[in-house]
Amino acid sequence: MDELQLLRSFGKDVADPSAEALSRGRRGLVEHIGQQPAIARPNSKKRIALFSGTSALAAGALVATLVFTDVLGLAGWQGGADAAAASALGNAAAAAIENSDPVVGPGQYLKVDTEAAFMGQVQNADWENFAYLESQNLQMYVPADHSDEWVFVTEPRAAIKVFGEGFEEEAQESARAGFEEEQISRAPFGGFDNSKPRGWRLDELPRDPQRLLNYIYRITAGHGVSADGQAFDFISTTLRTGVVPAELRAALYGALAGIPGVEITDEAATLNGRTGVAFGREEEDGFLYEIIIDPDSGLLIGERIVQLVDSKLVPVFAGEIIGWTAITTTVVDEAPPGGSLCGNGGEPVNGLGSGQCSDPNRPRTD
Amino acid sequence: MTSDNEIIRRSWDNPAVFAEMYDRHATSVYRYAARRAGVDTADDIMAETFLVAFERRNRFDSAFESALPWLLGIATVLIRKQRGSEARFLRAVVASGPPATVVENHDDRLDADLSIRALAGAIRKLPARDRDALLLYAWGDLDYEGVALALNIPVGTVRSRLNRARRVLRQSAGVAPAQEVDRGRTSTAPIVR
Repeated sequence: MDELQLLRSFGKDVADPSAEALSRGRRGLVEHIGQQPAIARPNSKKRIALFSGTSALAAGALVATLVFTDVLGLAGWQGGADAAAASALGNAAAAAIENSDPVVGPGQYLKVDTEAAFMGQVQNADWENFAYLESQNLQMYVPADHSDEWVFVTEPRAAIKVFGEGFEEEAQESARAGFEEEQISRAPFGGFDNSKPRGWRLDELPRDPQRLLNYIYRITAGHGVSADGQAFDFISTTLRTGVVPAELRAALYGALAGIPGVEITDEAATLNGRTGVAFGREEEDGFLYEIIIDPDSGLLIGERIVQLVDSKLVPVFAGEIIGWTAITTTVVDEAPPGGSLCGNGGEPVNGLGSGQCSDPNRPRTD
Repeated sequence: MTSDNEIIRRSWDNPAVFAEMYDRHATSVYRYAARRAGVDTADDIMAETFLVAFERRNRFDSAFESALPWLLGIATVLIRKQRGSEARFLRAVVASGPPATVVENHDDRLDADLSIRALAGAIRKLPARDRDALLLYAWGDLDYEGVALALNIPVGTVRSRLNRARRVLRQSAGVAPAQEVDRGRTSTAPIVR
């Protein structure tokens, strides 16, 4: 037996993982994946047939045209937000248009400051469960000329609230793992992590609220827990970018007013020191999703997610805010220095725009 | 069957499909971790490897079809982070022989025991980078290219690290050099830089 055979024989009979460990690991992964925001993709294959009859071909062509231009669609077929919410959203939309957008001069940046917290849930080695709210603060500096370098700052994470006594330290450790240091990425066109140029394609969105909502229902079809929930999610995801111009923001508020189930859930919701009106929708998944808007300026304040049922494994009860995002947009003259296309380490691989960077945390050549 | 790189690419748009990586490779990752750091730690390494892999999926080099080398590379880093557990495990083997389950009950059990205790001692003293290359090769069942991919180093470097490590093991285990069966292919693989 040579040394390699001997080495191979050592541990050859090591048992497979127990079914319990396997399913625990898988559950953890699936839960972790589930915490990632899903981004709805346009799906041009899904269309809605409305007519049938005599001139099927002509009608089909007409419907296709109308559906593609979103004159016809799902919006309004089942009512919309409740009356008070719709009226308040109308006012907010008007206020948004009255308050013009900040102008980003040459050499300046639009700074989108995102302060956020989300819930993490952990089962430790002793099979004990706890949960915590984890801060996830980011700042994006968008240059006046999009071909200039954009700068993206990711702050270190921390547990800001712990659910479960005696788990403070473990929660901190879990929240920080992998995010101990500030990370700065910089890339022209916002192609951070060697990704493709960032295109929000906001210009493509209709400015008429009804057509916008038809568009949203059309491209989010088939995603999410419910069509209305997914439309709501599209609106919050778009607003959350912080770069939505006033007239589109107004249209998005109008579209929000067309979604059934939307109501005023808090007249005075405070987030990060700013108070506004919360427009919420209860989803079948047991959470209340809210978009908070400053009624006077029409500016977005942020979002909240409220849990509607008691958790089984951790002391998180109905009514608890388990996630929030506060967005502040300002114009600044400078962005922080440092960082690179791949953040604090790593280099682009497989060419520019491949979406891939080498991993600085893995050992390299001698 | 859809290749790993295709699934990872899909998971950019649809994160949920990443769970398929777990179903395919969790057992291999576990076995590698269990051999290196003991069964007590292997559960955690297995679970954490896939969380890290998911977070870093945009760094997976899609030129490679199989994700296993990449996953074992992540597991290797995690094992090194917990180096306490690997060192403890090897010390225990040196002190009392391998756990009963790890050697087949054949005639030269005693010889094997002694040799393995010597081997474990030698492995413990290897420089970390040589140890990683050796154990990915012997216990991770990777070929030279796979080890290179897992450790993000050129194939030539894998070869030299393995030669060095094997020489050290031969000396400490007192086994005769046998004819080398090289499972690594000799072609030079594209190297991630």
